Amino acid sequence: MLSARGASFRYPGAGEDALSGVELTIGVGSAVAVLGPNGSGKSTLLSAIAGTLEPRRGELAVNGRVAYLPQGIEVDRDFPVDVRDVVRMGRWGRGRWFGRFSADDDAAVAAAISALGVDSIAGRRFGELSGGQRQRALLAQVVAQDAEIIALDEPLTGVDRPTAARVGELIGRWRRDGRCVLVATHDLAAAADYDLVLALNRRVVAFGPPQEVLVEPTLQETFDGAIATIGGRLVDTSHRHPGAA
Amino acid sequence: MSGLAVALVGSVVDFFAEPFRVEFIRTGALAALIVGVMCGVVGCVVVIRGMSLLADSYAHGVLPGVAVAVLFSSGQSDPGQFAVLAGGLAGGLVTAAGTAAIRRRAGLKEDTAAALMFVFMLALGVVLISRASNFAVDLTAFLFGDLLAVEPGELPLTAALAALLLGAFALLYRPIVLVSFDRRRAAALGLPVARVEFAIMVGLALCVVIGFRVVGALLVLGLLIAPAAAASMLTRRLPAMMALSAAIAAISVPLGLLFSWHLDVAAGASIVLVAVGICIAVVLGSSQRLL
Repeated sequence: MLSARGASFRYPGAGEDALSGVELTIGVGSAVAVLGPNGSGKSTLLSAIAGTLEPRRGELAVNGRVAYLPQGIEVDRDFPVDVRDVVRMGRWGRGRWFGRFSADDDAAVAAAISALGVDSIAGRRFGELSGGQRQRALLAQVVAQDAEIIALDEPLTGVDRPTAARVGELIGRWRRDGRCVLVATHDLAAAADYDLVLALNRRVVAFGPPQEVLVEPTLQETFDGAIATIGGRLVDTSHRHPGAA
Repeated sequence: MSGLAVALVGSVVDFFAEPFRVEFIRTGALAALIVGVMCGVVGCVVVIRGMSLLADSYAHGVLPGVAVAVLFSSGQSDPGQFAVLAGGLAGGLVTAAGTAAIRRRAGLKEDTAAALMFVFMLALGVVLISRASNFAVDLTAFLFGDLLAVEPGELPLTAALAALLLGAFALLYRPIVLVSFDRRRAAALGLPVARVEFAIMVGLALCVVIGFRVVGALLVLGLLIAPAAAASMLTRRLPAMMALSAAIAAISVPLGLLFSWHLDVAAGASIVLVAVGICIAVVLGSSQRLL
């Protein structure tokens, strides 16, 4: 469903590759946790899979439609779209730039709104929502796309526990449906629940089942030595808030 | 009804109807109505994308294009409607392309790039005008419009161009909303973001060119921004905002012409003053959105 052969990626105007020498193959029904410190190439890989960045060298083959949740969004408070409009945008990318929505489109939008529990805020202006509510609306937009490959860049940023649980259920459902799911995360404990873990640090440090990748030497190499053992668990200290305990 | 009441009603009707009994006022009103509705809709895209300065630079970018049209119409006292429109559109497109090129190559912010092209095109226009000995087009009319000089024969072309532009914006509604909402998501959904943004810039340049013949290059910005800004404070969704903005622009036309007629002041500026006045009233009076 997805494969890379010696793929390197560089942003326009940048002097060096953001990610190089990527070799991987991901089949149907796989859930992949993409780990790495800030600037390790997680977002680069996901945006390349989404088709917004071409490999500078090597090949990246993506067989299927991709629904992509980028990290963060800058939208003016007054931008005139409500939550339902934002979810509907997920259907626009299926060749529906013009013309009326079909009954299937409307049903997919309604199901996505329900799946993320944003029914009660569907008529509210997107710019007026809290960060967590915005993330739920954007996740609903991803669900509405009904894509074969789902690439989520830190999808749990700013969301509450019930939403995180919903996202976990969604990932499980996508996996059972035979879709390919890639999730960029800093959460080492959560990564253990995925089929595969891809550890990045501007290159692929390791790629394989969690029990092979989530070991201290590999994680120290991935996170530049910023892995500590706290309460018997390996923790990424590079991403912890300066004031956090 | 008493004779006094009849006379009073007659006076009120006369007050409102008197200007529109004159043919050149009716022609100007129709032209302004077309331009107002067009600017009301296109202005919503300008407002939601934060392109007001860019729109202003296009308005000034029209000047050298018009001057070139005059220079190439040697021997004619009036370069003609089509030549002025073509020259103005070329000037607007050069401004758009120049702004995009400066942004891309120098990495400057959009407002800085737009301001650079704005002053460059304005200065170039003044230099060209100073070389054009046959420049019969009144510079004041260019800057502030000459609504009451619009000929009935100009209306079909103005209406056709405005309809073409609004049709293009309706066709590109979803791509325009998506690139304005989030460029990264638009690209991930397979939208050719750069092409859509170029189409928006061309559309805005065309809107300015159609509008400057009626209300002038400086005041067309008022019809682009004021109704859309007022509508944005009263609505939650873009289709409602566009409809309300077009309605505010449309109502500004007869009200502005009434002021112009009874106070004997410039027509185009009066229309823009009414539109800005409505916007200020909304700012002062709006506590919540209606739609």
